[in-house]
Amino acid sequence: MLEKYEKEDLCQMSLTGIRSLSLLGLLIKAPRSLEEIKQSFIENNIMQESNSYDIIRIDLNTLKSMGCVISRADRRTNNKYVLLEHPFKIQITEDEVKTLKKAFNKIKENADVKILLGYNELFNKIADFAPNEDIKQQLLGISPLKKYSIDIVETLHNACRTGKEVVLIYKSPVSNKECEKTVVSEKVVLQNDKLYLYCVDKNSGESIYLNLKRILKIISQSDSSGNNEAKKVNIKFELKNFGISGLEENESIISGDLEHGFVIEGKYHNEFYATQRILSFGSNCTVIEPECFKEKIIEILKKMREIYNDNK
Amino acid sequence: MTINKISQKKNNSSIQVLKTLQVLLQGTYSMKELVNLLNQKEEGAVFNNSVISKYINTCRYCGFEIPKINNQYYIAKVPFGLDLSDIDIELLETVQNYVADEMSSRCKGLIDSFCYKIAHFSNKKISAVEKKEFNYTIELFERAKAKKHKVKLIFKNHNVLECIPIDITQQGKKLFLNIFCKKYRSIDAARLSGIKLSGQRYIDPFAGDQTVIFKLSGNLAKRYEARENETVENNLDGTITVKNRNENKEMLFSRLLRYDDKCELIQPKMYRDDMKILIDEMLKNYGV
Repeated sequence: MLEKYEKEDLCQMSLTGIRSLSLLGLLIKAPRSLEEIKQSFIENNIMQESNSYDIIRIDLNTLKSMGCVISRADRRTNNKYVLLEHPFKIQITEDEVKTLKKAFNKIKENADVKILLGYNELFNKIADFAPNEDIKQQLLGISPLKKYSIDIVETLHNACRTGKEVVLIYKSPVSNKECEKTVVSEKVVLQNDKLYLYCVDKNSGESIYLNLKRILKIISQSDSSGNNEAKKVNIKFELKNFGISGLEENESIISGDLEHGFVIEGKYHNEFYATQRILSFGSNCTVIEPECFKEKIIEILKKMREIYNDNK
Repeated sequence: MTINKISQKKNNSSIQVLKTLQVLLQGTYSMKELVNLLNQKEEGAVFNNSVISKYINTCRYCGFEIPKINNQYYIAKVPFGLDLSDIDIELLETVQNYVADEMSSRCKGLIDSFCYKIAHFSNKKISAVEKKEFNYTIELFERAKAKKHKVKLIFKNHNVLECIPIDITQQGKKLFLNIFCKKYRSIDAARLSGIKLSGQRYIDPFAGDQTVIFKLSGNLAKRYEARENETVENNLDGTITVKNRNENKEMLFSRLLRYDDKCELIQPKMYRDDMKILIDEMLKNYGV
């Protein structure tokens, strides 16, 4: 942080001020022991070997009197001073954070996991300099990854890039029991603010998707063997209006325009997801083919209508 | 010197340097303003031009970039501030560009101010976003929404549609105005030649203190994870009742439809009726 101090500069500066600012900088970056602080001061010519540690203790008092909260250096902190709080923060306002959140909510709709991980780290960094606890919590609350183990997200994201076979512990949403699964990872996606791992179950050979919150542990990773290509469910449908959500990367427009509607072909991971997706479009969507899927949607809709038949 | 005495001792000159820094972190000031601001909390005139210059030099020596432009001092770089990576800068610029292109000028002002502060508190610069032409249609749409005024959308073919403004979404490079009216849910902004505020105000169909109650059954009831705006009650028959507050109606309906026959919308009655109509419309698509 410092250039080497030259004595002739002294008249234009405050030497004790330089020490305080240097100490603040050192403690912001990491907890430090008295020895480490002294060493850094000596290296920067703002303290001499013969000087006592009391000089540093006084500098610590000076920072405390300015509102810095610094822990004692004892066994619990490995004999290091830890800066817990300080007043030299960014004056971010609540309105600014709200706008940031609003923009990010739009950006994340089309963002891949790598980008989401990047934003998560960025918001965490900025939160460390938030002016108060409220703003800090608001910043930490923006990222949809806040409730996930970042280690697991990163590991699975990397496994997907290389198509690795992953052995993991998964807590079943139905039985709530933990079980070991071997899967070939395909992609990690954000849907409805939740992260899912799209993968092929090695035991059943079926395409499945797992809520990342329920993946408790990753036991091992290895290069996948054999043909793990999951069979996709292809659905052709008509869409009058995109409505609230855009098309997914696995959906492509075959023909049409905004005035008359579009014919879309979707290649879905499994039939369950295809059904959910088609239903979510509401009355904007009509399945064209395959016929059996169309029949299935009609049957589901009939059951749904039955629920709202108040005269039953 | 005893430890006790040490624990009470501090450097007054350091305190004054830190106070100068603290004020400079708040904004851009002339020397006169700095003197006034810093002396406000002092008993006498502790700060003057000469000592403040000395303290600014002290900060500069420690790596703070404090330029003086038009007699105004401000902090342009903090050495121990945010350690931003190139990726961080890219992500911030994406937000800044998105807001400049798609959101109101008020939002642009707020996010520019946010980025300005972050840039000054970091070891890297965030490039300024090019000024875009003021998008009056988007601005008016957002203003109408904020003031709960209906809008009249004027199409290029001279048709006029009165509707309730909901929000603005982007599909690829296209902008869509999401609206509430009988005929349309969203309109491609490219189809419009203009927009007018209608004198008529509306009661927000989505926001307000709206609580929606729905019941979930089967496996979905067992694995359902309530959102931040939801509370869940377990029922004796294994179903759950979810109370959802203030979710955008269209978003909520789209989500509840995904739950197929394992979900029943209970209240409010208007929503229940709307869901029924929607399912009927979906069936009509198949001639049923």
